[in-house]
Amino acid sequence: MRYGMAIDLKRCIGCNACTIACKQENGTPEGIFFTKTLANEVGKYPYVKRTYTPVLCNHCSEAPCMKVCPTGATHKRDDGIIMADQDKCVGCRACYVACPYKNRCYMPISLLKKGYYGVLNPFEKKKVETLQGEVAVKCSFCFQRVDQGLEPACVVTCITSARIFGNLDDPVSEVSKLIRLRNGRQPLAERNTDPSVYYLE
Amino acid sequence: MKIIEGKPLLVGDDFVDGFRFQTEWAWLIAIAFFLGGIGAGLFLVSVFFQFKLAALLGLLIVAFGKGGAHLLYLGHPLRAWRVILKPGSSWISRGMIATVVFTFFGFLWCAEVIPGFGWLVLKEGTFAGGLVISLAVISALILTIYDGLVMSSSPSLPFWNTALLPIFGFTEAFLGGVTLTILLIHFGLGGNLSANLNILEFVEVGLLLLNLLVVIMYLMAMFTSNLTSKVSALLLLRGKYAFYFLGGGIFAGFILTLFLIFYFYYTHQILALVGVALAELLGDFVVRFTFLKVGVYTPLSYR
Repeated sequence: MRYGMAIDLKRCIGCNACTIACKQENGTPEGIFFTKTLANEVGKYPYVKRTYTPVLCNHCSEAPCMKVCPTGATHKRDDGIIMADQDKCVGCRACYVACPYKNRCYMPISLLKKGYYGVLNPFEKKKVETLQGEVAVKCSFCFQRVDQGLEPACVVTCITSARIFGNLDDPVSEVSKLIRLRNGRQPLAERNTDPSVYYLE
Repeated sequence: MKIIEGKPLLVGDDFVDGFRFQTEWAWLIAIAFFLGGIGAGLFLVSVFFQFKLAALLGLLIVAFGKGGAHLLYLGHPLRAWRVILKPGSSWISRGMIATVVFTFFGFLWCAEVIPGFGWLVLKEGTFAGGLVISLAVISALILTIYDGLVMSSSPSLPFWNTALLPIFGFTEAFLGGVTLTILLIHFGLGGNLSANLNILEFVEVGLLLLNLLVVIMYLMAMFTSNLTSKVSALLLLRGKYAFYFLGGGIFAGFILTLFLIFYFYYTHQILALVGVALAELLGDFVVRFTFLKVGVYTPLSYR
């Protein structure tokens, strides 16, 4: 079992609904994004177009962030999901530096105190209880949902169904078939991290 | 390719794809690497000359300077003990273990010069004495290359991902160690070691030139490696950090230092020697700091 995701770049319209859904699910404070959409301008005027690249933790098989973590806080589950244990993290930020995709975040405690509008609202208060300050945080493929048989929040929210989630080890799963049929590419494959997120073009 | 009108697209940590900076490892990490390097370098040079007072100073620089800066940087310093748990894969773990081993065995070796510890004299030629100094020297050697290994061990930032970085750390550490040793001897703390000053001054000039050669080789390698490395190298020479790198790292660290060494050689003014130490150490720190700051990630669209 290895969970993974295929992202259809032809379908992504850069609406950032995934970004919002992720923040709602995980209660991340201002400035912390487990997923987001990077805009990219291609070509020269008048032949210019804008493309979007959604990014999130790639849950690499050879995760550099896991290798450099000196405490074992960053670890891999049997299903391939890379987790960050907040209780073990010392806040050295080696994982942040080691991730070639810059998808790890560091959460200063100040962010957990002020909320989006200066004071924590009831929703933020509830979510903040599950978060620790001064630790490195990351996308967990919404393991709390996946463990219940649900899909990650960004996947169910995507209005164009650009994100497809599933088991990469199962050759007949939708995600595996799409990667195979559409020659899915891994981001920065030359870094030898073997990401579990593939882009379809 | 993220090159717009001949210039690389440098973006902050926002919603645009481009060359994004690493922003987390900065001042405190640079201070820790710098102090770790010169402390271990000073200890190693002092062991060679059996200069235990300087060795103790090197030990204190590592234990309190490097250790303190690392602890201040950690988000949860009270959990720092956990850092030793993964020596199999993490260079931070190995560095922490090396620091602890170095502090303990280094202390044993130079304890006799500390008031109240005169009784703790390790006899030379004994197994225990040999073991203590061997472990202290090995761990100090690890500390001289530690920062280079930590930075180069992951593939994320191409500017750091090179075997030249540990070599740079090694030569910088020895240079700092030799500079401080010369200064301490001139201040009368070296006892009968002043006879070795000519050798040390000669070694310092050699190390300075070697170090400059390593930096030039490093930059040449980065310019010919890949686009991301080239962007980082350009930032050092023409971009945001050029003033610091060229002014502090190259001018103060090499040119001014070399000038002051020759000035001291002919005039023997102690102030010039203090200037040598200040300029050399400033250059060392600035080069380490700017190397950290120009670390940029490869854009996802780069193929």
